[in-house]
Amino acid sequence: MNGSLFYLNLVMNGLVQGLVIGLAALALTLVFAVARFPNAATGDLMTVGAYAGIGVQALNVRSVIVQGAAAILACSVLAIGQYWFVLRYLRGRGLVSLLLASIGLALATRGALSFFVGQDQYLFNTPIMRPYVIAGLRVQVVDLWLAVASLVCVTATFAMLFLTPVGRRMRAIADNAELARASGIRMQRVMIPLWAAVGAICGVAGMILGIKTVVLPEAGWHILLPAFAAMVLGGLGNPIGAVVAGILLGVVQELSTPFVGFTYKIALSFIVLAVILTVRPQGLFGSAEVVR
Amino acid sequence: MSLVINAVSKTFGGSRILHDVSLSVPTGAITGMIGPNGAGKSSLFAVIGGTIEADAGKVEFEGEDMLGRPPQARARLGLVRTFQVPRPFPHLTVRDNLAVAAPGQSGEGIFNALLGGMRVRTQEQKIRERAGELIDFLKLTPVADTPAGQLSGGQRKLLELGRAMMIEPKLVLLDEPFAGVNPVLFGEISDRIRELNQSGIGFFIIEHNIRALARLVDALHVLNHGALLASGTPDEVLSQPAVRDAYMGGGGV
Amino acid sequence: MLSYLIAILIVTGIYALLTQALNFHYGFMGLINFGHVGFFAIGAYTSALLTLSGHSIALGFVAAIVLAALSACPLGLLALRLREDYLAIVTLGFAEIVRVVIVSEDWLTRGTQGLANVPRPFASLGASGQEIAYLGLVVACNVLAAALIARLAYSPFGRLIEAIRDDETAISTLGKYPAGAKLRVFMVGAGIAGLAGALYAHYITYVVPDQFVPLVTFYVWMAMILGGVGSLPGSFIGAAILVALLEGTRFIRDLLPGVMEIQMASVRIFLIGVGLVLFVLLRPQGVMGLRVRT
Repeated sequence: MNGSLFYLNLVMNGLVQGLVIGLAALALTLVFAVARFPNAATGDLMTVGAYAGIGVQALNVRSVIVQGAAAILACSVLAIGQYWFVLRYLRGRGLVSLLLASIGLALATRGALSFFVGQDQYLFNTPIMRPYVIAGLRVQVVDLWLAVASLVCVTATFAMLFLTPVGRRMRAIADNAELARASGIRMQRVMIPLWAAVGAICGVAGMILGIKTVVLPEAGWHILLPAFAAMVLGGLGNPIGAVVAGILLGVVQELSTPFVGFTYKIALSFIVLAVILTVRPQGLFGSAEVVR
Repeated sequence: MSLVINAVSKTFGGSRILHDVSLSVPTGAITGMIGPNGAGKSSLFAVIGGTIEADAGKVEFEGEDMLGRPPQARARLGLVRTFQVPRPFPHLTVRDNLAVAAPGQSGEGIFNALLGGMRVRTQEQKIRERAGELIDFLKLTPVADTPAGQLSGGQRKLLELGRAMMIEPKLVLLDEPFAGVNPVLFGEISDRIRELNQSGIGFFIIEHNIRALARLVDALHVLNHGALLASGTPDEVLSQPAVRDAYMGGGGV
Repeated sequence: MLSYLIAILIVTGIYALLTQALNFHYGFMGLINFGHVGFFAIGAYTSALLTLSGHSIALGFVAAIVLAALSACPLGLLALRLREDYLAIVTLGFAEIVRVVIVSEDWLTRGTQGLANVPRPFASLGASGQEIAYLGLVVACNVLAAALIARLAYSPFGRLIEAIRDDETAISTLGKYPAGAKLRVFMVGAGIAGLAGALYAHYITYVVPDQFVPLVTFYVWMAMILGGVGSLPGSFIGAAILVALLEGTRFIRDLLPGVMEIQMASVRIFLIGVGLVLFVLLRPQGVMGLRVRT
């Protein structure tokens, strides 16, 4: 009885972890589907979001909503800036150019950030509330709020993708970029909303990450690899798959901790990835598209 | 000795591309296939070449079932295809494009490549000779040492033909050899195909340009909406009303 | 001053070796390897561990090459049948797994503490003689690697791998199997990176996991682009420029009074990031310019 409760609590923790990975994977997947490259700057974008929240907190603003709004704003502005000043010029240059540029953007972001904020860790002062205990299962109130926040974020993203004209254009480009351009879709009218959305998702993910752990200049970078794994598992370009795979990876990571120890958690997502790709080269939710 | 296609069907994304296609292609002759755009010609080639697998039916070459054999295995049996949009290796010279296709090169092994013994060298010399002959035969001499990425459309078609010849094939599948080619070169390409055929190599050609094809082939098949519409000599086939209808609709003449 | 110059040259030589290996992967074969530092780490730790347990340095070097090459085998088997997008991500993850294993298995690697007192060869030659001899060894390894790659590149094997890089579907229809050749290229390049790792371990004389972060992979990519993708002489030029840039950031500190050492690390990362972005933006041919075989 106690044993299964222990694992149930791990699953709860894993779900919250998985939400962060899933959101990061969602941001990666949007970029991958529409702009066709794995965006290595995603993790550091999240870090910026967490620090924006911390900055607002330092001004004695206690409201998490205001802190989150600041994170979303900061990340969106930065993401649009990265697109406008760099990535825009690299369209059609191929995967390697874009990947290298995004690595450069990631390093520049992290370098600039850590120059000003230093290497000290910061914490969000979330009010301590007694957890709900349901049949022995402890559910933190904060976790519930974070789950609601990420659910809102995911819902908003899918609403944008599937209910708005700009979302329809994004999906058209993801389907067939040439055809979409030929049919008169203006790239910039799609790309700016896209990067704004990517920034907003990263802002939320960064806040959740900061609230659940501590805020450090490398915090987001460490989420990038599991998020990459989730994106590939989700079928490379499938947003629903990415979120689901991210949550699954979070749970698997957390459940494995008693067996493999804390340090292997990071590696685990890639071992899961390796095992699954061996069986299903197209990912969990991907359609068959393997090298012929 | 032939390629036998028996009741091949293929469905892709809900639409039927090939429906119960059966025909036989002799390895010594030049066989043609025409059909409007989207009739399923290229898909049939992909099934024969092994890049896609049919849902039903059978492909046999020289009496052997091709089911589950990758393109490599089919090429090694002497069944090789070219592409509608030619795919030369753009960063390799014309000469290297041909040389790389030669089968059974011991220098492709990493240790042989490093040691570079007699066997590798004599083999390489033979390959270069054969490539040189083909370059002359295809009149590609002026561009022999140019990267293939710089060739014209017609030269690319000729290069692909030459590359297929390097593997000493029995039957070559040519996917629209006249498409994207300056019409001045039509006769040139036809002549090369005919000469190669006289040396014993069979051709199965799909083409949009009926006139160029009709003069070249011994037998002609018509594919329409994924199904075989007619077969026979070019004159027989082209006089059939059903073929005329399909073609006037497609506007291919 | 002379010993500083020799030290710089040795570091440059180690980066040049890594750059050659990456060039063999990407410039010649088009393999998008973002896990280079993983092979480097395997080479460094293999040789360090063997020599520390009493084996000869020569054995350490050979084992470093072999183990790094072997580690590329399962990775290659998994990744090479996938789309190229996957390879970048899977190799990046591989390098991180290597680092995590080094951190975690402290019974073997002493975890984050690392391994100290890795022996340096040529101890009998005295301090400066040892440095010069080591530089000689680094140069010899570079020459050997360059000769190996050039020999392979101009053989039928080289012709085959460049054809595979140009068009995998076309080469398949001609009866050639791309997967085997790709795997061999992947392993050879990994072996050379492993050799670079051994050279590094025995020069610095200690290894810790922090030396093997993904940043090293990005440095090597930068060097390759700076020198020109697919160019072997470019590997040396690129490595030299890279080391000059990295060393140059030391002098920036003199220009920025009041900046602390820990902040300098941030400045360096920032500058490298900006540099990478600028190269990709301003030197597209450096990234895209695959070798033309003549």
